[in-house]
Amino acid sequence: METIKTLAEIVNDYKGEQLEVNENTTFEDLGFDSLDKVDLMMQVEEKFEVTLGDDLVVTTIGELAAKIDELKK
Amino acid sequence: MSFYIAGTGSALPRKVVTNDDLGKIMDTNDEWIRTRTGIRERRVLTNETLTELTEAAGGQALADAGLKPEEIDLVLCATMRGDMITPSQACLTAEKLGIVAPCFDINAACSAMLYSFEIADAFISTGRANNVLVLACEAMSRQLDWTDRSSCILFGDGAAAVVLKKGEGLIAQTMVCEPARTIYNCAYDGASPFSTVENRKVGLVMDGKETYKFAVNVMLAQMEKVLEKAGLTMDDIDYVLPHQANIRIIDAAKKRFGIEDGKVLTNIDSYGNMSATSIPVLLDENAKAGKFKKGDKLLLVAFGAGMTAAAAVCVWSK
Repeated sequence: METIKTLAEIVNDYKGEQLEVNENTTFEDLGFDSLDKVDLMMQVEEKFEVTLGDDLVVTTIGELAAKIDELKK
Repeated sequence: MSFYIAGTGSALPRKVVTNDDLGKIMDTNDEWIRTRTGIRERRVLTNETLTELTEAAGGQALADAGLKPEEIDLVLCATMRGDMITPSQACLTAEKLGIVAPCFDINAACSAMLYSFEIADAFISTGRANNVLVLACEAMSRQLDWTDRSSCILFGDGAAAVVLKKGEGLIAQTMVCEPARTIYNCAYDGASPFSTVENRKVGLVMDGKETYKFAVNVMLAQMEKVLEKAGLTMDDIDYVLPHQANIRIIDAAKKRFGIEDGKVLTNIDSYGNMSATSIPVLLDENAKAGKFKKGDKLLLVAFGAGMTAAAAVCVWSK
């Protein structure tokens, strides 16, 4: 949940808005195009100090959070 | 360091190609292009040559610097591909301008203008030259795969010139390369009867996501590095002139670095990505508009295929 909370902060800071972001929120819901996703992944790697890899396929914030938590173990 | 910017010039093709014009010949539209790149239109060569455009730009820069052709000691041209493979574009243009001096082209993709600054500094600081004409030009339209709508929409054609004179102006520079084929163009024209190499894809090929990552990271790194070398902070800089590859890259770097609005200059909406020509066109247009005052500190930063990157901090001396 903590990871999702941090991701929500990153997303809202990026968008300059206060959106409702939870584990089921998709990147499409956020209006993210491919460059937005690249930017988000760059920020995630920096913030969480992980390397996500170029072949990561995630469609929701929840899936991304799960991947981050797996890498942080 | 060894030089100051004494004169600028630029020349663009007549033909304006809007996003709607592109939408008529391929599956794309204005909203898609504009929201993803910041580009509204670009200039494209019809029957002009790069030699004509650089002659015009070079002539303007010489006049602006108050120099005659015979006073130029070195001519560089930042370009990936001039009108001819040989003579170099620098030679072709020097001939038109009546300059007799060593001439050569610099191919460092979009970083070539700032790479040329490094070369000019090396020549001037070692006493090999006092006045250097740096041209920049790109006929991107001749180098693109016009069936690839993900890349051909991004670029435009143009030419520009800068005269660098011995004196005080340049404060610090950086120049780097991390070899990678994230962006490449084989432009494979033909093979001998003995070649065993298969034909390769002709036209620019670019991994958009990897390019974005590289560009944002390297733009931040080079700005930090050049400011450190200059003994300055971003607060000391009056204007940032970044390479105009994509407004999203510029905005991402601007946000991460915390650069205030109004400091970062752009013209990508009108011209697209003109490779190394983007920065000097931006410089010239703003100079002509009276944007810069004497003593203003400019931070120029570029990144491109190679993968190359460079940055420079200059004091506006005019």
